[in-house]
Amino acid sequence: MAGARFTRLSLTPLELRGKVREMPVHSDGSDGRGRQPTPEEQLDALRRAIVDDWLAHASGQADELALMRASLSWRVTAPLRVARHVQLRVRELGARRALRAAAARLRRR
Amino acid sequence: MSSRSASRVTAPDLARLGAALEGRSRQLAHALGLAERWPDGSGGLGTGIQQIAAETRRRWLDRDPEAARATWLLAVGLSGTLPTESTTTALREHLLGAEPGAELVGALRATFSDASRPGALTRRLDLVTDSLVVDVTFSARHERNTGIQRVVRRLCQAWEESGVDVVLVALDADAGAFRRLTMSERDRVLQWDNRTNPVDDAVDDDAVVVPWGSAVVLSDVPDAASTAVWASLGRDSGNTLTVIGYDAIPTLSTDDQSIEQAARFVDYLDVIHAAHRVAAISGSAAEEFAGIAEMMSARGGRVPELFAVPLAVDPVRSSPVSVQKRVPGRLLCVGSHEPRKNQHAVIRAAIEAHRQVRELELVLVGGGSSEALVDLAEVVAHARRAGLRVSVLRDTGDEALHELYRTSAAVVFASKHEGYGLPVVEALAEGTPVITSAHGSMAELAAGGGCLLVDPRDEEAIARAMVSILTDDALARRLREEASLRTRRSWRDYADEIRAVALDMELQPGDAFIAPRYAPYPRAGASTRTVLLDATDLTVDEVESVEGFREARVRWDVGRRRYEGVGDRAWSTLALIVPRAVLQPERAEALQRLVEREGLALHVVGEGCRPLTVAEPELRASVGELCRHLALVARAATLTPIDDTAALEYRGWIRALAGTGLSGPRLLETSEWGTAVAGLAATGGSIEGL
Repeated sequence: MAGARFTRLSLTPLELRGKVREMPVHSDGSDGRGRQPTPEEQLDALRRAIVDDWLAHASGQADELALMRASLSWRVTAPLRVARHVQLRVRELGARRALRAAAARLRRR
Repeated sequence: MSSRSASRVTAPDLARLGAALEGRSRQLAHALGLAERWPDGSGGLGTGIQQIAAETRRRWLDRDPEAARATWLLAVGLSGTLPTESTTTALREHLLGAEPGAELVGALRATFSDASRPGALTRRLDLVTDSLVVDVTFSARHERNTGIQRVVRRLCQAWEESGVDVVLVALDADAGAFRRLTMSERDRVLQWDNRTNPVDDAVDDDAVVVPWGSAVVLSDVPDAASTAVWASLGRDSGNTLTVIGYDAIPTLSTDDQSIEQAARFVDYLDVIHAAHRVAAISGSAAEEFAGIAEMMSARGGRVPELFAVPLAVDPVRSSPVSVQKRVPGRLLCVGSHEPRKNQHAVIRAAIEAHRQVRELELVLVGGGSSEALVDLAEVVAHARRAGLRVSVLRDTGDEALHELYRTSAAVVFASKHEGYGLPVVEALAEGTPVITSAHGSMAELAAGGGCLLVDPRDEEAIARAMVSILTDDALARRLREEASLRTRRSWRDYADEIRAVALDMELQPGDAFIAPRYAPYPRAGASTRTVLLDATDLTVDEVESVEGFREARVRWDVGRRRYEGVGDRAWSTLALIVPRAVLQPERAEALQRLVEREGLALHVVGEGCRPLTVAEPELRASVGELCRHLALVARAATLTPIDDTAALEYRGWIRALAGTGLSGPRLLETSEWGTAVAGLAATGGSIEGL
């Protein structure tokens, strides 16, 4: 899922150069006069934009995950997930062996 | 969801995340010797990371041996998380597949998932170089103090007391990052008996501790969630990973373990394979791990160096009790209640011995699952009906346990398989003789004196030993004297040796036992008549019923020729041909019962142990079944591997069996299927019913 979302980050050098050409002219802020950034500066800015985009998405995903885990619905349904897990294990192994496996897991510690 | 969530990130947040990433990236540039490419004070975060990523790619292309560790560190630096092998593999592939100049994009893509974990992106790197880093995750975070936790705590306390500089770390709850311990966690590890900070304090997870050029010790058995991180740390990080190896019981004693436990244990074996050194807690455990390492050598790659560093024993808490203060006839049996510990056999043996020694009293100490306790209660009730005095004590504290050691006439510890056998050394340290098993780590411990050895599967032998030790005063006196003369290893000794192994210091002769190379286990395999049996065609019911089994159709294809027939009542040898490596566990168990009941010699042709040696998810489901199958093969007379890989795996597995008390089958020459069948027919005599 994550990989698919970032397919658009797979830019070839050609595409990178194209992006650079499309970028608007910035002010360097040093003397108040606008000037055309050098290709290196443009490339640097583009790379920074890529990093910022990556940071924003990764951070957003982490926040979503944290929010979901902290949500009331996630917490109140925790026993249901445990029950579902047990149900699947019992179906897979039978009640006796599922119980044994759970006990063995605890005992192993 | 992604675009919505990304848009929620504010500019100040982004600036903070960017600053954290720049901090990590500059640290890794320094660590990788690339600081001059990205001088301090210069901007260009994206360009800086691009430089590092490009340099890492170049190292791969130049086959630089440092490429793997550079990739591992790049993954940590970008994501703030310890990577698994899947991340480092993806990162390498993205770097190598990227167009020159666009390595940054590949690096970001490969580490996106790890970076998306809560809290990861704001972490800073706490690089720990040229140090001894010790993971104590479970002992730091949990209140339990049974076998492994006691070892971990005593080890760290010994280092602390002797002023050894050790960095203690714990993995966070997501197994994504090492962190330093909180005060209460340090207390839990270093001052267990005298804690001053019992209340949990806040965890500082702002930094990820990154061992770099260090020696890392994995002192516990990691949980399933963290094994992939450990495997990557061992293989990719450039740190030296030493694992304290407790035992490989889940894969070797599957008669008494759940097969699910065996399946989970494969992840741990992958960590063993990734480690540089394994410091096993006994010579027997070292043999097990040496065998497993040999099995795993079939999959290629480096195998760990094996050392046996036997555990220590706590100092005696008070002066030894005089003989008069011992309770005559009291036998003590310590250990959690589970089939492997063999308490049922001990109780039945005590019933037998009680017929000759009326004052015999059995005290069982230990907990267990509710299921095990129910089973135990039945056997105890039977013993009480037979007139034997039996007590079952749970939650016994250390003081009370040592009091029991001191006041018992002897300790009975007849486990079928142990990594060490702590009750043996604890009892001997109190001057109390021990009846213990004549194989594996227990026999190794007994070699120092003070013990009677028995076959734990022979209840009569256990009963005879009980009678001897309770009635033969001269014997009991001699054993007590031997116990008092034993040399005792201190935890300082143990800690010094673990440190020497971890730091690859020169070991003094006798400091640590280095496991010997494999030697074949000879086994007599005489047989006169053979039935070749394709076991996969049998139902469990046919195997369960001897009559049904003997009349079952058997068939085998050799080349293009198919043989069919029925079983023969006259056979004395069973040749079990297993076309697949894995049998249904129920069928394997039924066959095992049949072989034992009928006293058959079993010959197996096998395809090896791949599900055990290759930690691949698609093979995971087969691990438990394979282990159950191997429990059957362990009783075979001969084993013919079908190719060299299978031979290597079986050779290691047979070596690892040492701790179980089974010598394992005699390994025959590698052979093709058809030749193997013909060879078995020749060695086994006539082929009945085919």
